[in-house]
Amino acid sequence: MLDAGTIAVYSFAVITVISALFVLITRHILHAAFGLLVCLLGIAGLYLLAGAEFLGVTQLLVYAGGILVLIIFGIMLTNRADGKTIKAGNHRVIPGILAGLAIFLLFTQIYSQSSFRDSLRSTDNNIPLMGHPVESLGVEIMTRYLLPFELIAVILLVILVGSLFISKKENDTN
Amino acid sequence: MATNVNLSDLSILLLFLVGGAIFTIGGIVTSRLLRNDKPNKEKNTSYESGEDPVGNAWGQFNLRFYLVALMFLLFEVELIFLFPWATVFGDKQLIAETNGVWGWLVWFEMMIFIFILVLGLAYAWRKGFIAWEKPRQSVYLFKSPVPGKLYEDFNKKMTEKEYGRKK
Repeated sequence: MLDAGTIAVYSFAVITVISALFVLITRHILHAAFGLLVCLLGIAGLYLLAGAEFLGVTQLLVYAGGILVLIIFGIMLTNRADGKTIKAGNHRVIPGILAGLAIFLLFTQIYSQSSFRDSLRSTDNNIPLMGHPVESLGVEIMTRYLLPFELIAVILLVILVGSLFISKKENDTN
Repeated sequence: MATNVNLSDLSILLLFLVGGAIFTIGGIVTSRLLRNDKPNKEKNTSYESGEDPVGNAWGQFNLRFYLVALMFLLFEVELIFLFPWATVFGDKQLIAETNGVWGWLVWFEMMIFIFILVLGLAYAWRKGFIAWEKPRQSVYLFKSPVPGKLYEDFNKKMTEKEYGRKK
């Protein structure tokens, strides 16, 4: 039986797969970036339909909004002075397929071995029952996963300072 | 049960998405069906106020755009973490259950998080990555060997002389 939710999931999945294939096939590197945008939007739609609203919105904001702008800036920055556009090709097909398979196996292994705790229905621990998944996420971050949370800040600081330092060195040599 | 609620909420969003796609694609397709299609070389050039366009549309970007986008991205990730925090920060039930400890604890945890990232902002600010390069204005500073008071006295004397003569 096909209800509206199932149709939506399948259409988002089709959009994601087709755009991902387009990224692989196209020769124009900027078109590949736009294909990646559609792919990321499709993944965000799948997250939203799976009930992971926070993850979906994060995907939209950070990946579709931020990372892709960074990728397009990167393409714009690395164009050549002779006016030729950079052609994307397929290199190292067999190692790529092997790496993809390895990641797929890793993810399925993690998925099968981990027990997903539904925080909405968790009554076995002391964390109170919250109305919304985002709220329970907030409580978890502030209590159980506090150290990873503060470590994220340190990692972000390292990324910020490191990337600025590298770009400064490159600026000086020019 | 929760997924049903999510689906009904999201179906409104999905409706907007589908409606937007139909209107955009429909407009393009309709105009393609209705229009004449006789391209020539003149029509296919980019319109640049009647001038012939020169060179490539991919101009070299300033590297500073990339750095600003990078900094934006990092602080956006910080912002993402503020959302779940904000939903539970002022939770009355949690504060009442812990005699107010919850509010202060969560407050200080988030302040530490923000402070660590403010260090990065301070670094970027101090090293001048935020400051955009402005064109430098050169102001010519003339230093006269004659002191300014002599000019003033001279002017005063001359205006008095003029004034007196006309009278």
